[in-house]
Amino acid sequence: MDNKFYKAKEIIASKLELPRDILLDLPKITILANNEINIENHKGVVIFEEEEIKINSNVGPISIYGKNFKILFIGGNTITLSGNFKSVVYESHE
Amino acid sequence: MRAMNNFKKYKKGIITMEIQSLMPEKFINLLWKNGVVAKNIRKINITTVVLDVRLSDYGEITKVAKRTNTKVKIIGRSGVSFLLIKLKSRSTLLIGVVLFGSLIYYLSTFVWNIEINTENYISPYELRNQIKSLGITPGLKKKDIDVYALESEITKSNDEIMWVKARIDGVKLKVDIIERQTPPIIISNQTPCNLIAKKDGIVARVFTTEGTAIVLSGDTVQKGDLLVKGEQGKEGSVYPVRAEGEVIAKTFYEATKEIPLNNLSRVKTGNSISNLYIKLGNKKIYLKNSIIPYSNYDKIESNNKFIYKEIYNEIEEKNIPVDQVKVVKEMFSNILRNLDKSVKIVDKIENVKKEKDKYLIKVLVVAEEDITAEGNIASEQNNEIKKK
Repeated sequence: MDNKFYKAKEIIASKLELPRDILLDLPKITILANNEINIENHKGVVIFEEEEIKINSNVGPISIYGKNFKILFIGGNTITLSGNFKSVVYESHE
Repeated sequence: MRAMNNFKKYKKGIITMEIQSLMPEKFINLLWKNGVVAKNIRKINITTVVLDVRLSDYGEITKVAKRTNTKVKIIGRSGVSFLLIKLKSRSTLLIGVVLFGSLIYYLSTFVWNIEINTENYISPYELRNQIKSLGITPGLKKKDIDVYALESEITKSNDEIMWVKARIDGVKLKVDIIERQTPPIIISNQTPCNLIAKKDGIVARVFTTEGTAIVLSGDTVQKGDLLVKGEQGKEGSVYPVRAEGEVIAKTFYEATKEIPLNNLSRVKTGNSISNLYIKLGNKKIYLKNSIIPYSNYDKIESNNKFIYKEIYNEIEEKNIPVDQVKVVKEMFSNILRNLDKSVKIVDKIENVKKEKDKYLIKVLVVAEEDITAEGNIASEQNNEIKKK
């Protein structure tokens, strides 16, 4: 049922050319060089370790590998991280 | 609990805290879900995380900490709120500071000191007393002192002061003055002398400040006559002084002039004739010669190297009658021009006599003036001896 509703939403969004990130609650990821990343519409921090940060989202967890991590800001539906990134990985279930 | 609620007012305070829990991520997620904004989250080790949160969220954080079994340790704080909290407990200090400031401000509206700068002769003490008598004393409010009125009052009440500047400078009333300087009276020469006449005249009035007057009003004096003798005192105890005074006498200035009744004036009519000749030795050889038709003429000779030229200009003679009034005026003004400014003109007499072919004009200016001049006593005595 939930899945059906989501698919209907997706179709409407693509037909009407509405911004999908707002309508479907998709994460919007902005990466600045290799040291700052900004994720909107996230669903919380899963792992916060020395060399990995995993952030949950609607499309599955997003893993960021690197070091010297620091969460500059967390609040509302935005999270901003800084550090020296190596890679950003989408670890979706499908 | 009440203390926690109190923190909600302080939005500007930021606290840095260290949390210790088995799952710090869980704590962070819970904070986020409860709407607590966290900043600068750093991981120290597996169980410890440092983060910055707002002071107003502190109540929420303690609730979350209790639920997740997290130890919270505050390691730093910053912001205006903490200053306010501190000041609240030290309200007396705050009141003291405000009271101090306002007291200083209140006291600065008074004049506490009068600074006086004088020049040579007027003492500051004298001026201070004078200012005090005008009602200006230390301890008066600044707005009650009108410096411009004070300036004019000081100059009015003290003649020796020429210029005053009074200004309020901080809590001081500064008064600067400049003294009036009277020019010194210089008596240049004190050697005894007489006063003698420097002109002929009839004495009208005699004023002496030193010496004994010899002439009386109505006396006729000649140039060089003794007017005021440089002596003073009763007979027998006479001592020489420097005679001083004024002897006002009537003096006369005369001028005569003879002028013809008519003035002859020669006017060119514009007609002219010219002759040319060459000179050989004493002989003149005319190249152009014509008979001169004019009864009156001017002859002008000019030499142009070799050829000589004679030009005859016709002249008309006219008789213009002389305006004797104009001449008289001119004569008067000639006399007056030479007189000193101190000379007072009493009368002007003119006498115009008409003879056959001329006017005889006589003008006389009657004036009154001081005719004294300094004369040496010794030379005067010599004169008297010569006269005898």
